[in-house]
Amino acid sequence: MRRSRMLLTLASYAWVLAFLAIVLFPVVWIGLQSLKSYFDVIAVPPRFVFTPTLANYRSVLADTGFLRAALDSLVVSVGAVTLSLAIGVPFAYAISRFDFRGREDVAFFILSTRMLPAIVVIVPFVQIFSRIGLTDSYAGLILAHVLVCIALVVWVMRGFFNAIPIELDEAAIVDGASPLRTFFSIVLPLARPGLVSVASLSFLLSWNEFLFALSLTSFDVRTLPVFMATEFIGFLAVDWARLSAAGIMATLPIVVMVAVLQRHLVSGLSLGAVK
Amino acid sequence: MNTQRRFAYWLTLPVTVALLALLLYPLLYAAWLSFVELVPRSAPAFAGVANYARVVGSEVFRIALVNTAFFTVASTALSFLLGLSLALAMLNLRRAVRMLVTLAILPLAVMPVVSGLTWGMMLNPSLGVVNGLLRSWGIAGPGWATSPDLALLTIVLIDVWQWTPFCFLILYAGLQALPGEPLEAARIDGANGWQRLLHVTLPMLRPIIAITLIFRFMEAFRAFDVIYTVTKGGPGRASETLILRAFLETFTFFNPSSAAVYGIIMLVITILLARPAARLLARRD
Repeated sequence: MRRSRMLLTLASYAWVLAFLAIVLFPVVWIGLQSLKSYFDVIAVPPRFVFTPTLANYRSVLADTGFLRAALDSLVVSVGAVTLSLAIGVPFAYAISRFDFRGREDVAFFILSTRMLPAIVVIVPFVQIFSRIGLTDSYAGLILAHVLVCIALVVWVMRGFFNAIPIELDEAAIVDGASPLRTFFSIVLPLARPGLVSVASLSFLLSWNEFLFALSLTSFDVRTLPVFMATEFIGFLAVDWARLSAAGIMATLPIVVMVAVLQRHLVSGLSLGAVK
Repeated sequence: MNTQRRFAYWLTLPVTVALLALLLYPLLYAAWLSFVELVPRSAPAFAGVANYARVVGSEVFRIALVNTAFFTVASTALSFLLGLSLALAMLNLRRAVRMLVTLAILPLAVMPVVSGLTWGMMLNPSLGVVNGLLRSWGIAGPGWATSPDLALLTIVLIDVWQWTPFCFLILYAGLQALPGEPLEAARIDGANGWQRLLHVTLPMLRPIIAITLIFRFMEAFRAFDVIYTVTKGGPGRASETLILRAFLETFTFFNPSSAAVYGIIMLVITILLARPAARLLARRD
């Protein structure tokens, strides 16, 4: 019994380490590639030992539209997160606190937007946007990203509001606070962990979103995923060295954010199903 | 009470408006598109189910449907099994070592476009590191994304790399939240490790397993970024899925009605699966 227990522990360690090696290899490799010279990148056999250089990073920042794309991404993501929270959090509070007919149906409907295959609304979006002048604009992409984020915001925040006793609201009302004041100064501060989780995950969704960005924007607005997918791909060859450097820089902010907020991640990813 | 009702109404108004404008109207528009024939320089003519008949009857659709089914099922099953085994293994580790969780979930944060491009680089038949390493061990590596037989499987593996951490993270959190007493009772009754896993742990974990599978399935069903960046559906149509086909119909063949048909078909499949998912989530509340 004891021996089999030890074997199990040993096997567990081996499996976790093997898995980590596979998971981390591409990350390490793209890191190495980003530090190589143009020729080391495509060397056969692949080089693990080489003279590192920061030239790729310098070149990406100086010679390409990377910074512009990063700025576009930032504007779109911040805009989408702000708007999603501004409309989604009050909505979540309402369906947590007030009982009205069809409440569960509304909640289901919102949930189903998270599973919507974006492609079905892309054809209409393209046509409607060009008619009202939203094609290739910040506003257009931000609106599309609100659609991507809203289910997450509503469902996770609803879970957090449900966990706050309604007696607190009632006490505030009895003390003469207006409903609006109760919401802002009593309930919202208590739901702060939820807000952090929802805001950061929405940011991740918007920052990484590719299909809407590819379909709805072109020259004026170009977010990082679209930039990454087009900038370094030539007709005959891919500029792997600079692609790697740009990939590292585009991904790093989100990786850091996820590492820091790991604790908050689970409830967000499962739309509040797992706390 | 009346002020409260009015307050609730104002709170729900913005989302209602947003969903009407951003979802309901576009969906109706897509449905309309799928039933008309667009003729240049004249009014769209009602076409009945002609668009559906044309799309569903085509070989292209059949290939995309089969590819989507294979991709979705294979990717969901593999990432779930890997994620579950990793979560179970992680529980056997010392507490301090469990900090490794942070490393294991890294791919979740990587922009899917970047993981597609990175894997595309690594799997390049002649210059990539994977075949380079294989070659140094005396194995001739295949043309991963360029071979018709392997392209779809290659995409599945990249998707599994990206999404196994998602399954792992949710299942791991679910496992940690399970009560300890039933397991202890089973141990006292003399159940061995396998029996405890199959008859105690997994049944208790069932709701979490269901949620993980449904979310993962939905994500795989509409996966686009990696397919687009690695193969664009090729070679030929070897890795062309429904969503990629819909995208091509829209932006390459300028055929909005066909694209709308693909979109509506995907939507119907999603709705059929979304109901049970929503019910499961609601029960957890």
